[in-house]
Amino acid sequence: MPVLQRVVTWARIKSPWILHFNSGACNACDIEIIAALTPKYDIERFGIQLKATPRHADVLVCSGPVTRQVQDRLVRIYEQMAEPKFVVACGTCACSGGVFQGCYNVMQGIDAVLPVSAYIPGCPASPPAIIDGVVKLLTSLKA
Amino acid sequence: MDWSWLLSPPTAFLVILGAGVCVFGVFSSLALRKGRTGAGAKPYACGEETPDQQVQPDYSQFFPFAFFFTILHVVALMTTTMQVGAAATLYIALIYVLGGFVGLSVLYRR
Repeated sequence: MPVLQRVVTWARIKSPWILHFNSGACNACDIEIIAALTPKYDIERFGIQLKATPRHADVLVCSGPVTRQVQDRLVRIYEQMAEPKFVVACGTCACSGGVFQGCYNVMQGIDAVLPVSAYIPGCPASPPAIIDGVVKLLTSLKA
Repeated sequence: MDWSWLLSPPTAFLVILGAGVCVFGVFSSLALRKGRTGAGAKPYACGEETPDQQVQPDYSQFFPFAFFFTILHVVALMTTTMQVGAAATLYIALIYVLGGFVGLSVLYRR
C-alpha cells in the first residue's frame, strides 16, 4: 500500500523524537544541542522532542568522539532503539574525532561504531548548524 | 422487522472488534519484521548491562483467576440486567453465555 506507506513516512518526518547521548564530549556540543531545543532556536517546531529513553527515540544525536569506555554503552543504546532509527553526529569530534583524532582512548568518531545518517560539523556545532543538519536529514527521509 | 438489535451491546462489540482487527492487520503490515535481538531485548539501564535475575516474581500466575472472574462476572451481569420480554433477549443471553464459554475455553486450553 504505497499510499499508506507515504502517510507513515510523512508522519515519521513530521515527528522525529531524539535521544541525546554524550559519548565523551567536552559538553560544548551538548550545550548547543540543548540550546537548539530552547525557544530562541526552537528546533521543536519541526516536531522534534527530546526523549529520555531509546525506546521512544527515532534519532540518536551523539556528541563527542566515542571513548573506549563508552563504546559498549553507545552500541547498547543504539540496539535498544526501535526501527527505523537514525544517528546524527553532532560536532567535529563526533564526525571525525576532532582534536582527539589519533588519541589512544577514542574511536575517532561515531561512524567507527555506528552507522551515521547525518554529520554536523563545528566546534561546537552552532544551533543553526544543528537545525540545518536535522532539516537535511528529514529532507533525505522524504526521498 | 425490529432492527433495534443493531444497537445492542453485542453488535457494537462485534463491530468494534472487527474494526480493531482491521486496523491491526493494516498497520501490522507496515511494521518491520525484525525482532529484538541482543541488547535490544534487555531493559534500558542508561547503556549499562543488566544482569538477568534468577528469580523474577510477578503476578502473571494470577491472570487466569482474574480473567475467569471477569468473564463470568460480565456474562452474569449482562444476562441478569437484560429487558424481560424482549424478543431477542433469549438469543442475546445465549450469545453471551456462548461467548463466555469460548473465552474460558481459550483461557484454559492448556
